[in-house]
Amino acid sequence: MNRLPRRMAFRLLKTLPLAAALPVLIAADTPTGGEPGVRAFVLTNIFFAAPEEEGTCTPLADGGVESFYNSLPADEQAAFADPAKRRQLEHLMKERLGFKATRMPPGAENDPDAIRQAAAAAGFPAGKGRTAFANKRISYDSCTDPLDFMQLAKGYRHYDGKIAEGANLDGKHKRNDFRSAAGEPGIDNQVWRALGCTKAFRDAGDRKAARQVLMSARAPTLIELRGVDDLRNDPDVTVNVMAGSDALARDARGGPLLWSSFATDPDPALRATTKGRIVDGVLTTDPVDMRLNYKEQIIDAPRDLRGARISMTLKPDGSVDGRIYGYYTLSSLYASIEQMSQDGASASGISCPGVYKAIHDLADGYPDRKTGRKTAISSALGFVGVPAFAVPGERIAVTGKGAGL
Amino acid sequence: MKPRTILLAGAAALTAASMALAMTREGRADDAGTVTPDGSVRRLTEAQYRRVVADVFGQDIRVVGRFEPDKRVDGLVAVGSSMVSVTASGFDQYEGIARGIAEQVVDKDHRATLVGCEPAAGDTEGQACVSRFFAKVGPRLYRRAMAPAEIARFTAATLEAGRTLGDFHAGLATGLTAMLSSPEFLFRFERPAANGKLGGYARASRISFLLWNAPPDATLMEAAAAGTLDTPQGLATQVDRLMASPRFEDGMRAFFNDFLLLDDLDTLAKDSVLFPQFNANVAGLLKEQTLRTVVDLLVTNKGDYRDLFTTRRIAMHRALGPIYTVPVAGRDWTMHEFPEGDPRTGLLTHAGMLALHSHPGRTSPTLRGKAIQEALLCRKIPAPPANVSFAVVQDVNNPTLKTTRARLKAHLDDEECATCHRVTDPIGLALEQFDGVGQHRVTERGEPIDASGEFGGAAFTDAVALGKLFHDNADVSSCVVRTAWRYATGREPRAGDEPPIARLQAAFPKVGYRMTDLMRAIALSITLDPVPRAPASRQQVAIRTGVPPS
Amino acid sequence: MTNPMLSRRGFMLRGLVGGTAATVGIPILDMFLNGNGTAYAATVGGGALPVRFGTWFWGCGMIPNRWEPKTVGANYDLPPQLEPIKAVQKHVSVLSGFDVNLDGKGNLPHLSGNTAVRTGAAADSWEAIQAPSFDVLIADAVGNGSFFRALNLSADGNPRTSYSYRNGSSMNAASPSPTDFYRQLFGLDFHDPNSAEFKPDPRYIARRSVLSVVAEQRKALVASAGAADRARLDEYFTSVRELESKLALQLQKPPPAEACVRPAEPAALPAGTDLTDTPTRLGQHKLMSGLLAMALACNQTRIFNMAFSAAASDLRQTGETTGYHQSTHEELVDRSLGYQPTVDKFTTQSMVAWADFVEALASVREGDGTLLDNCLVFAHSEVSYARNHDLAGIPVMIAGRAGGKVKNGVHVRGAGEPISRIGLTMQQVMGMPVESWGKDVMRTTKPVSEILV
Repeated sequence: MNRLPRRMAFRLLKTLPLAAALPVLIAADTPTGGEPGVRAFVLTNIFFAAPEEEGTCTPLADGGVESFYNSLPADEQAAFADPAKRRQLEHLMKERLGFKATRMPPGAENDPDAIRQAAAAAGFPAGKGRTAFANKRISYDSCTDPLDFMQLAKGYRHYDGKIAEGANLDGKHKRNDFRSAAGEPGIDNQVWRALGCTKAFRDAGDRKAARQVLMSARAPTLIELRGVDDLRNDPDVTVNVMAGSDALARDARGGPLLWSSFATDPDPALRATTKGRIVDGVLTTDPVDMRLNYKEQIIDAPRDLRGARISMTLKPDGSVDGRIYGYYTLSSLYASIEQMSQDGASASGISCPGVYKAIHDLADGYPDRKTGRKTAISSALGFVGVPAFAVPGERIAVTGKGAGL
Repeated sequence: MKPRTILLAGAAALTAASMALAMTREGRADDAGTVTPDGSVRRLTEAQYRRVVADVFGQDIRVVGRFEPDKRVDGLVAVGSSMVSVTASGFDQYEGIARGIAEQVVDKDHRATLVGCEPAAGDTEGQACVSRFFAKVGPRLYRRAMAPAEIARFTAATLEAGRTLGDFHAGLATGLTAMLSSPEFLFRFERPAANGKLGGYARASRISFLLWNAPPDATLMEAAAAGTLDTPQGLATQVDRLMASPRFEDGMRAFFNDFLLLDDLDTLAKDSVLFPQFNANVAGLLKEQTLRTVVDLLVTNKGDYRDLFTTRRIAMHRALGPIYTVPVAGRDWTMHEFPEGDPRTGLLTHAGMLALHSHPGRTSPTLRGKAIQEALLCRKIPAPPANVSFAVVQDVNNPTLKTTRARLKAHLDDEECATCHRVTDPIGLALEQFDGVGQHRVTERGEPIDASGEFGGAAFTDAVALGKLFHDNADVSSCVVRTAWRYATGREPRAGDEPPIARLQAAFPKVGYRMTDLMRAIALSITLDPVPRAPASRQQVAIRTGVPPS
Repeated sequence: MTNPMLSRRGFMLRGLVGGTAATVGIPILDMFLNGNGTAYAATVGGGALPVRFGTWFWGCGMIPNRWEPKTVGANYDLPPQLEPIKAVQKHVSVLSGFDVNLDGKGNLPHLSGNTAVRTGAAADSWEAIQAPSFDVLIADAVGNGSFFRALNLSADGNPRTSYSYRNGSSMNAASPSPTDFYRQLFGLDFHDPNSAEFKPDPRYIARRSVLSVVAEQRKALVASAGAADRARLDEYFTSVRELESKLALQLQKPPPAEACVRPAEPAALPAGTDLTDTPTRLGQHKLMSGLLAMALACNQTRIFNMAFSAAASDLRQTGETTGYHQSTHEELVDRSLGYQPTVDKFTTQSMVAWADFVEALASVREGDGTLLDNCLVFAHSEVSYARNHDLAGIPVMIAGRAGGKVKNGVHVRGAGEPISRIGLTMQQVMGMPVESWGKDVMRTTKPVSEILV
């Protein structure tokens, strides 16, 4: 059984820290070239925006391993109390709960029959398990099949604060809405309620930390404004959200290189267009469905956001800082959790069953026509970005991703 | 021969060397500036060395080691090549580089093609093979015909080494190492022919290194041997052949690289906090950018040299997009055109040129102005005076001098400083709208930058206007003619060279200032050079050394 | 037909081919003889520990009233810029107030002073330099018999940062990085002097013997060359001879060197590291000093030249627009402090580097003392007060006791005497029979006796 190297799995949500804070633009913020009236930005990080609220989440939500530990009898707990014993504890969890993993046979990545055979040969329960670890493994564990390991959701907690980032997406004031930091009621951000007491998400969403991290560096998202007459005030601009095919380049200080050119992926599914307006340097847009690349180490789980609207501040130094308010589909959201793989979730202190249950319980948008069950959950994503150019790109091959059995 | 003889021979050599040293030791420090190199013994530059090895042994032979640094004299490495020798540590390095090359030439992957023979049944030491090998590569490495006695000496030494090492190929590598360490490989020697003019092989080398920055190819060597280079038609045919080849681009790149001092970009460092967009990769691309732009205009399009200062066309690469803040599609080099009225116009606004002559942390109008005056206008700017009082530069009453122009104003207020700074600073100040790595800016510390000034009696408002003035300035175009001549001959002009140079300068406008025409004219004229110093009669030289006069 | 190549070397080969370690029949090559050709020089195989000579250079001088000690003689006071040498003060003598006199020639900033210090004659352009720097003179005299006639290093990554030259066109390039220096010294050709095993490698025989084909070309080429070219060719052929000597030495078992231990190869800095950043430079310099000390302990050379920073020092602090050199000219004298604070900092850092260098030599035990005891190091800059390109009182420091011939820990004030006196002294301490040195107004016959034992 292959073990995910600890080093790799450990920081799946916090990646590639910058050496310095966001750069100060010393070039003029008007580019020399490019089409007139067009300004583009490459996003260096997209994260779940965390509110600043004191006194919440004491205690924090238990991760899967913590939940398992708490379920052990006292004498066994004593044996694994020492943090140095963490690896053995995870090992015990695997054994006790019956997790399974086997290497993906070479050439079988897109062959469901071969995958099923390999799983069966490795003793997986019939019909269970999924591909994992960037298609290099076939696994059966609390992340691939959370419903089979719901006991690990014990000790999971929802966010217990009153304040959250976000917008009033449904126009209603409901009992379970949040209040914004400025006091505005009716804020819809159930995904924060679901994830906000898990340390990994709290850390990633912290304002300061979010500026230091380069996320999805190999496939960043670009926001392009067209028809801009005045960057401070313009009642009508067109906003394109696009997938970059080129990696973020770093400058000599370790920050993102400004004014780089990014080829954009021509796949229409990765492109969204909407209308917006700029008032006193803040852009807001109409809602639109969008799919944003999220490729980070072994994770390749694009974010499907429905009815998403952008609010973006254009700062004097040329950089941007904004939010995307919309409904994050449960399937795309859970895909990013599942792709962490059990080792990643254990290392990050996440309970896959806990998250799974929470997002499904709290989902509040886009009911399925047949079942009536909500398929998406209100969210507020934060982002930061720097000036860039979007240039036409070549068609790139679509690679296979994780699939069920 | 006995050991004693070696001692004597060694002592004799040492004495001669000591005498030479003694001569230099007694020389007066102040009169040496008048020694003008002949240009008849020129050390190969690193680029030329690599080119010879690639041409003779193939591109995949790796040349590894540290070369003795080339020396720039009066702005040109080509002139410096006539003044340098090889120091002890330099020779150590050359021998090491040579060994590396030789070992590859005889290794299993290469010996079939590059050696092509082995010891045979009747010749177990491989004498015939060794002889054939040196007869084949010797003339190409030495760039001249070789006498049978020379080949025999290398063959004998190689066989000896083979015996010592017990291996034919190891012996061959050792012998080849010696040839690659020989002076006639490392230096270009120009010997007179019987009629006192430059010999055929010397002519071949001159035009080949000028037009291709490479040793003569097989066709050119044959023409030299046949004597066709001694006739104007024969010479012109070869010159035209060389210029029609794609390798002419290499030659032009080498000239402009030397002329514009672009090699310094290879080691340029900038402050990473102040200029995070700059790194060693960017520096290399900036050099390539200027060279490609020059080639595109002056070679591919056979353009007018003066247009270099007004063209809005520039080679662009995606990794340079951030410096120029332009979008760049595609992953390879493309030609980009800035729009009408854009501040990026002409060679003076190339980021590479601007970054080269700046400090690591900021611009330097004086350095930029000086570099442009010296390289592009052929003017010599004297050194700052001794014991200059810099107190005058600081305006103690107003420490908040926001722009560079304000800080340098003191240069122009003091008469002693102004004589030179009036010449250097205005040109540099015109370029202040480009920062220390060549990025465009309109303000400095919040204050708008004034890039106006005067050049050649005419006023200009910014770098674009200055470019136009350069286009129309006669000194700019005659300077490139003079520099190209110096590059071709490897020496400073003497009194007798001024008329031919003046003729070239007068002809330049008549051919529309085309560099291609200029290079052709120079290639045809430099081979008419008489060899400057006639030593003992050529006949005696030939008898004594067994080396045929070339 | 007799092969002239074969018979000339034949006796040597008969003694060595077959891998026997016999050294019978090796001719007494002149390299082992001293200047008079009569006795073995006290070098390789000579017995006594050799005295090594070296120079150390830093750019942009100092601020005189913060560098020059106030007291003269032993136990001199340490002004603020000399604070860093406190731990090694007993090894270091300070020589202040010795001047360069240009006698009307131009002062090419950061060049003329340096040239006068190194060659005893002022010059206002590189091409005008005719005389060798005195380290080359010393190397010519005592450098034979060592594997390397001299070693040149620069910590700034640039092989052109070197003040050792035969004339203005023949500069001895420096090894610009620890990795480069390591490979040159301790790479494949290094023979551990303390290893019991020694087998002469026939490859050295072969390489040396083919070089005679090269050497033979000298006559013909020199005959047909003009005067200037003749000198250049002679220099080239001298270099060939040096390599021949070096290869011959490779065939001899080196005498044991007690302190010699082959060091580990240093890690290379990532490409593009900014070497003008002062802390980075100090790090590189320290690494190279340690490697040089070991090279000396392993008797690889007797002469060395180390440059911490180039003339018109390129040292900077990352993030500052203005580096050391520009600051010397542009920084205002702080009215409350009385000096230029940024300049002061950079000078002091240069003195930290000097202390590191002295320490590196002092930390290698050799014989009854240390390597430094058997060294003579001449440290200098190219100006005194850089702001004015002042050539009066160019700072000089001497370290090492030259095997007992030199006193340390004293401050000598030159009171305007020509600085060529120090160069003369260095040559005399190293055993050269030279009575005068320098040109015109800088010609002198008086050594600095205050540092002589």
